[in-house]
Amino acid sequence: MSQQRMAILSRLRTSLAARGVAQDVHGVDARLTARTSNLIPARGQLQGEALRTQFQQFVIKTQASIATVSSSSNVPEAIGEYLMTSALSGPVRLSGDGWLATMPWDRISSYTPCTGAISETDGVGVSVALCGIAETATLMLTSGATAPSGLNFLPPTHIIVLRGGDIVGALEDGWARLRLASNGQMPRTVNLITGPSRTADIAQTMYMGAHGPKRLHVIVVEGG
Amino acid sequence: MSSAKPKVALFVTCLVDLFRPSAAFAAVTLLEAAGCTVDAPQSQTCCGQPAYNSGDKADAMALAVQTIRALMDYEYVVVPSGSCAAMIRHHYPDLMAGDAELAAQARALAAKTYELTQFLHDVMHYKPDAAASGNITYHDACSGLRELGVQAQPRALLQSPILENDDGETCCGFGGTFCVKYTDVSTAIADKKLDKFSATGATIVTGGDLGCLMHLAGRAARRGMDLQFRHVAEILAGDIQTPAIAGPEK
Amino acid sequence: MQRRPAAFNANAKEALLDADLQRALGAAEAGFGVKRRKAITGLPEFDALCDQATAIKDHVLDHLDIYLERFETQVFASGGMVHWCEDAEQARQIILKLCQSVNAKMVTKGKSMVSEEIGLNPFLEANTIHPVETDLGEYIIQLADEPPSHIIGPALHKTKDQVSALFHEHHPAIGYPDRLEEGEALVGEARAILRQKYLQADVGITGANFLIAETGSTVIVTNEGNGDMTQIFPRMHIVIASIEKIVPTLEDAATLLRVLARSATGQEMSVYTTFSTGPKRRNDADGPEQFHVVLLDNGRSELLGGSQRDILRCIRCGACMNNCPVYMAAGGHAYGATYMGPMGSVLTPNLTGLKQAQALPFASSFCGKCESVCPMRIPLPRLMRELRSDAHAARITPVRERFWLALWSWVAQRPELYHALTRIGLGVLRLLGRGRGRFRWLPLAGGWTATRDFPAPQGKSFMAQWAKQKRPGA
Repeated sequence: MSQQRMAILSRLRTSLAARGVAQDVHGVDARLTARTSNLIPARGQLQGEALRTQFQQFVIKTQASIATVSSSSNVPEAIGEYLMTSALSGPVRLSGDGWLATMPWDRISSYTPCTGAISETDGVGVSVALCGIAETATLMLTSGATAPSGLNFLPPTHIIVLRGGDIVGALEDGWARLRLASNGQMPRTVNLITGPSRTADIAQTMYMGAHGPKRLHVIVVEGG
Repeated sequence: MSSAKPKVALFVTCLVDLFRPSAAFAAVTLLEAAGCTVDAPQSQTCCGQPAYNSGDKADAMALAVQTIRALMDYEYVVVPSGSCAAMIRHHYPDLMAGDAELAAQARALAAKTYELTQFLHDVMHYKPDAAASGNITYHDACSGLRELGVQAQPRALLQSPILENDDGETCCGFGGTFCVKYTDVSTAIADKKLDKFSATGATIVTGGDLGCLMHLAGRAARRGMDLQFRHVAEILAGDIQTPAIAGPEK
Repeated sequence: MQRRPAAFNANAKEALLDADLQRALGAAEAGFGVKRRKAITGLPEFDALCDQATAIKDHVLDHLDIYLERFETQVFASGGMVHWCEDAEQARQIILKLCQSVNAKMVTKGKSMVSEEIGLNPFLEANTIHPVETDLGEYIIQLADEPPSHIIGPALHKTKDQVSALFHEHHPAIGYPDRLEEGEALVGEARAILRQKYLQADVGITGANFLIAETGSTVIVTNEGNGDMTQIFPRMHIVIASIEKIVPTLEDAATLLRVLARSATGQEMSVYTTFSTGPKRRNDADGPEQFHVVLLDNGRSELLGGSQRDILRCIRCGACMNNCPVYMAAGGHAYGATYMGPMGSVLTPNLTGLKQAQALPFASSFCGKCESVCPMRIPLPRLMRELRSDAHAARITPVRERFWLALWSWVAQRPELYHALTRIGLGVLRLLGRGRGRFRWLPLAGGWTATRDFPAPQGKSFMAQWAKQKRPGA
């Protein structure tokens, strides 16, 4: 226990005592355990079709693009189409996600996806989101053995694949998914991504692709 | 004289008292037309806001006590300034927080103190006989706007379309002693505001606070702008003969 | 511009004559205002969320000691380290030690106002460690050797031409010989240069918008993605954050995030909100091997006990300065301090001492717009007024101002004398004015007449006229 730590805590306690605030260790711990949600805006409480529709609309509002496919076996083709219509080239790097590995990448010939360590020359990164949050069209991605966070930032084009059933209403629903998926242990990195990278640091004008991806494309997989 | 007439103390404010008595007379005319009996007790001077905002709490308190004593026996206190009215309504109770008796008096006074247009419109439900004429724009002074919510009342009383500027809730840069302490910043803010007023096509700028109007009028005159500045009480009372604020150089 | 708060007035005068700066401020004022209003209108629950956000921070501040301990426990549990620093010097030293422990030559940095507060960059330079700012705005002002002029738009004072010239001054030496004019090309060049830095850096230093007690996570909110690459690729990630950044749970963070971006840039959510918890896990594909949180007090623990405590709720959205007429006239550098605008005018005197910074709480017309847009309901004018009061009590305000004010107050407390003296004063002005409606100059009124005509009084005071014509029964 460092001397500085003691000094700071002691000053804090003196200040709080001067304000007449009673120490409430149990109250704090109860709050940390309860993790009660605060007000969730109505736009974060949609369900069913309305939820999907809002998610789609908001994704576009964040200047990302979105496509829906009926099955995960259509994902490689959907990526091919996106690359073609956007006239994009360069190596397509897949995260090590197990779900991606099950997809029929050999069915397409317009590009050759690669796996393994990220490279500076990667043109496109493909990752899987833990969930999509319809309130703000935010995608939640977590780091892990098969999910490098670098892939979310380094390639100039980022494609995020998402199961339709993983679209949730509010950020709080996202936290519930996260706690479930990570067994209560926060992953090293949780990225909440809402649109492609941008900056307004030059004369208040918006430019896309400041440091992270210039383009963000979301592919929603309905069904299996 | 009917005893049903509300007895109103006019808290004139130092700026109106010294520089623009016509605004105070207009206020008296309006209050009487609205059915009030008006008095202006001689023991009033300054509400203490300059001292208060400059950090001189002791003098601010002394002036607050003096003002409370001068006004406490009236049914209503009406102020032709949002900023001085807000001083009494919001800041007197804060200032007196340390003294239970004074605090109670301050709260009682605060409860019956109104900005002029607020009182005429909200309390007396008064409506002038005629709509104001001319190309008028309105300056919402910050204290009245944000501390008292005065915005709709003067417009309702004027009954004529106001040429609104597109930045109505932004300060004109007066700020009491601020306008002489940081002259250049204050003036730069006034210039932005004046340009907005000019862009509305208005020829008359009116408002409920003489401080802002003197500051804006003085700057507009220095810039040679073709804008007239008048206190809203004068316009509502139909007084457009009195020369405008900072009006003709000779 | 002098980098001291006492020079506010002189700095502001200089700023007002700077046409480039005024153009930049004009664009910012228009942009921020419209975007914020639009975002808020789009969320009917905004006001209620602000109330809750305020209550969350109030609760945290009331139990800050315990929350900091819980946060620390969680950082340890996830494999990170917490370093407590009482002041800037301790923070600089520990960061240097950490950098030296991995033989760092170059560190990349995400945007951090606390790093500015402790003067980290010049200190690292002096110790032969090269800091590279990666937020585009911070990168621009690092090239210009200037401090940030805004807490969320550090280079807000620069025009595109100035950025173009800066890049052309510095980039030819590193292989980019051409002068670029277009914004997109300028962004692209910075992107290419900084990309190499992320990959080469030994240490990445970021700030934190929030520290989550429940999980031991630190949170950054950015639009560019620079803060992420700053922490993903180097071996060590150092987070520098002040102690009041604590938020209890992820749920509480959700509430704060809902008001933060809307108040700041008018976005519903910033592009990247990143929660970092400990170093990379054993099998993780990437991430830093070490994770250190440097907690800075620097006066805040004492601030907590006093009447200025509410400023500790600040989440650094910048709405107060975006809506401040004084900030938008004078710009951020005029304040001569790390933090500017209304929140800075309150925080600076509290952190650095009122004596050096007493000019700042006076740099407000008390229009109250800052308070009305603050999502954390900080009563900024009240806090500034209190500081003015402290400055007055300590007799550190200018003598001349004190004299005139005291004289006015003394006379005003004597109504008969007041009415007599004002009668004389008005008489003198009438003589001086000789029927003029305004004065171009008046003795002792230079503060007014330097830029404005002074409206002449109409004649006798109202009170004098009223006393004469007062009707019976009135």
